[in-house]
Amino acid sequence: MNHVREYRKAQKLSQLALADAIGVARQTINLIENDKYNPSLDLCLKLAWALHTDLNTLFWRDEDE
Amino acid sequence: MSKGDKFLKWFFGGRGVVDERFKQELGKVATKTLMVFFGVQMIFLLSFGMYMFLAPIEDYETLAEILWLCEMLGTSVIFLGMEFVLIHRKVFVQELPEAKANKTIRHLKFEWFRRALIAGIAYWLLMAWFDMGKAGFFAQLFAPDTIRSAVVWFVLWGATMYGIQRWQLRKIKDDD
Repeated sequence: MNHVREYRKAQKLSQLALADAIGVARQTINLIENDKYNPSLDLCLKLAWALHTDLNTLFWRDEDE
Repeated sequence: MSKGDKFLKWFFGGRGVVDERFKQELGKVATKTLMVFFGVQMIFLLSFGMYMFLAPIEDYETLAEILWLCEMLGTSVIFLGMEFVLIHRKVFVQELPEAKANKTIRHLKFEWFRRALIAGIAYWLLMAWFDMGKAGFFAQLFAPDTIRSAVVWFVLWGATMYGIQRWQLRKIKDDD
């Protein structure tokens, strides 16, 4: 499970606001948060920048997770 | 938005944001559609070819018209099927907060009324031009049949296109 949802809520952003900020559809954010869509590296970077964090914090998971 | 993205939205009449997921879904559906299209074409052309070689045909003009009609209908059905799959997968869906959605719906109504009006007038002029025969252009232009068919085209095309676009627009609460 990634940490997009918790970082978005920490920034007090709605899914729609985050989607608008990085130029994707709200459904895409929803699917990423629910691990139903694997975003490209480019989109991961945009998410990390918009949420003021880094890729590791948002997406890293251990091998056994 | 790049020109390619704008073209994609225009071609499919989509309303949603053209992002990487949109393109990925479109790619998957397009590949399957191409396979279906190829399969249907092969079966149709093989069976039609067999009929042409084996059956005694006297009227090739009618045969060509039937072939044209089948191709036209088949291609339209396959393309519409692709559109419905994309809409069903919510690829084209545009989600907007309620206030913005209401404004967009009003704009949509106005926009499709304007486009349907232009299409209706174009249809009216073209029908009069194609059908003028002995009566002359203006006599055909103001003939009740020509006016009626242009009005029907204006209403049906405008309502259908507005309906398809409105179907893709969803109101959401912007609080998640």
